[in-house]
Amino acid sequence: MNQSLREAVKRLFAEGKLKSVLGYREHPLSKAVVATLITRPEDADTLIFDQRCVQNLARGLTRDLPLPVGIVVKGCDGRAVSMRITEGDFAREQIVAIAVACPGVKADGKSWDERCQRCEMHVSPLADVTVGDTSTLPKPEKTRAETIAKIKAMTPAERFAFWQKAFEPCTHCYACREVCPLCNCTVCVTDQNAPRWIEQTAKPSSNLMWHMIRAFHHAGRCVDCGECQRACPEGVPMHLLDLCLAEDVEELFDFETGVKQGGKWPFLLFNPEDPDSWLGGPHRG
Amino acid sequence: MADGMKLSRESLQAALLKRGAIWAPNDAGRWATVESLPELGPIRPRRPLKDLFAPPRREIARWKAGAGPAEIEPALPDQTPGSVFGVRPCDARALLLLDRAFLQAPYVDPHYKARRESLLLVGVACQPGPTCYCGVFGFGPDDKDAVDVMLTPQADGFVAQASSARGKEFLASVAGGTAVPLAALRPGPRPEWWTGLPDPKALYANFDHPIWRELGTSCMNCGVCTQYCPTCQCFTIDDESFKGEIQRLRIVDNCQRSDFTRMAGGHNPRQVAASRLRQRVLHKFSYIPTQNPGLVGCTGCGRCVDLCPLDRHLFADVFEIMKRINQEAERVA
Repeated sequence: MNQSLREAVKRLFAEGKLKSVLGYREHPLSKAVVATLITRPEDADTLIFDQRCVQNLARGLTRDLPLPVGIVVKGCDGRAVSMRITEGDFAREQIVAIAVACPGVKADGKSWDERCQRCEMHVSPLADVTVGDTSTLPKPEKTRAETIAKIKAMTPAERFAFWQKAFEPCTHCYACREVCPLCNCTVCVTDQNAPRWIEQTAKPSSNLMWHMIRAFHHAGRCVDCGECQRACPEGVPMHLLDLCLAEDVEELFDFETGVKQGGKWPFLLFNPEDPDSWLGGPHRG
Repeated sequence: MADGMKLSRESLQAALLKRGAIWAPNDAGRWATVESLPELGPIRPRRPLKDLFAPPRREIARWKAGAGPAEIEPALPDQTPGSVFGVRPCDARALLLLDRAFLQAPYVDPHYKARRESLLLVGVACQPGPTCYCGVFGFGPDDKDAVDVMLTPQADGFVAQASSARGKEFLASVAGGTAVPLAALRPGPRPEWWTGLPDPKALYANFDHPIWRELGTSCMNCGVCTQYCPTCQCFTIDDESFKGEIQRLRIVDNCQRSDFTRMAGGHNPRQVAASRLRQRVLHKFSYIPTQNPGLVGCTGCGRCVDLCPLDRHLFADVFEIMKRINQEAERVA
């Protein structure tokens, strides 16, 4: 895998298709896998891809990088990059997606991540080149519906109590926002102070406000990379909320995030004939 | 060599309870009051000790909303005497840095001062873990310099040693102690590749070095490192209202967030990720040592290494930066 990845990157440099590549390297001292940006073909030899490449690098795409920028993507990462292009963060030609055949990753070093066990997209749908053997990738062992069944089975009151408790340890550090590839508002709603939409300290009301807004902003945009929850130092299971919304969006709008390029996506859709009321306003009937 | 004092768990606990509330890490790794001395993990708790002294959220004052001049009720500093059990040397040493920020005239934080004066620090020596690096800063897991009393756990109690006047006074109040000789201090762990702390001036001289930009791409500025850092102390002030009552709060702030330096009007001198990463490294390893000779803005607790979702390693980064700077200096010479 590493050898063919490096060769592919060198070839892309040689063909003049990109000016930089965002990928993974093993830190020579800490031995941990960290994100790296290479701008010279000879540095391609530091690139790796294996089961330790847990992070989604799509967040690291910024317009100040030397463009076009290549990015090493797993299935979920590629969907995030694709969504960023669809939403207009980047022009398609500014990004070179280097898709790796990803059997899954192991954040704890021992077992497949939960999201990988139900992954149906081991190769990025956005791919300019594909590296690795895509014929032997595992089939999903479970479904998203199974993961969220516990939540769906709750009564509204039980659900409310569950989330109140789940959000309790939140300290409003917003690490979940910072690592999310699709948290791309110019100024986050929680950073605005005129008016102050969300109070900055942890308490039931502000915890609920933050996590509700965060989840709603990700409806139909979340690509199930799970970075938010992995980054959370307090272990808040906020990704579960994103999954519940993803299930609803797929069912109601027949839309799978980041799979097809272009077009409208549910977050932008507006239908005057919408049978539901708007933010508690009068029902259209 | 000064003698240690062998104490039973029970007599220590009785003496601490007599002094007042006991704070200790709970099962979730947060500092909380306890009824009895808990069993501690091998290393520092998940949350840093600063939570007790410069907490993430603290009320400064409150008043009622409405017409007419507000009657402001300032929050009173908490002077309840008590103790903190299970303080680790890395966390205790971090308080020496917070003291520089919050106890130096003319800007003394009365809340911080009250807590520092009322809480006895009872350290417990640790069994360093894979991400403990106190050795980088020249102390070890049983360092007693920043606590009042240092305890070394034994099968049947503790060997205690006082390291301050009030620590000595406290130990004298514990019943049934017997004098025992003290074991030699243990050296602290450090990365096997570590060659020494960087020169603060050389780091600052390379403020515009491309290495910051390169390392910046491996950081998403989530700021988890600063939240859990025992020495990070930046705060902001905000108001919150509830049912007609307004609270003015001192809230933890975070130099990794983009709004930390954003000015009214929108200009942000630290717009890109790399500049915020540089700020964190320079503050700890250049500005603090330059302004306070003998101190470094890090005590090697390793929480940032443990918690970084991007798996970055502070010491590996600092080492890499210094290596690059030195290599280029040699090439020029």
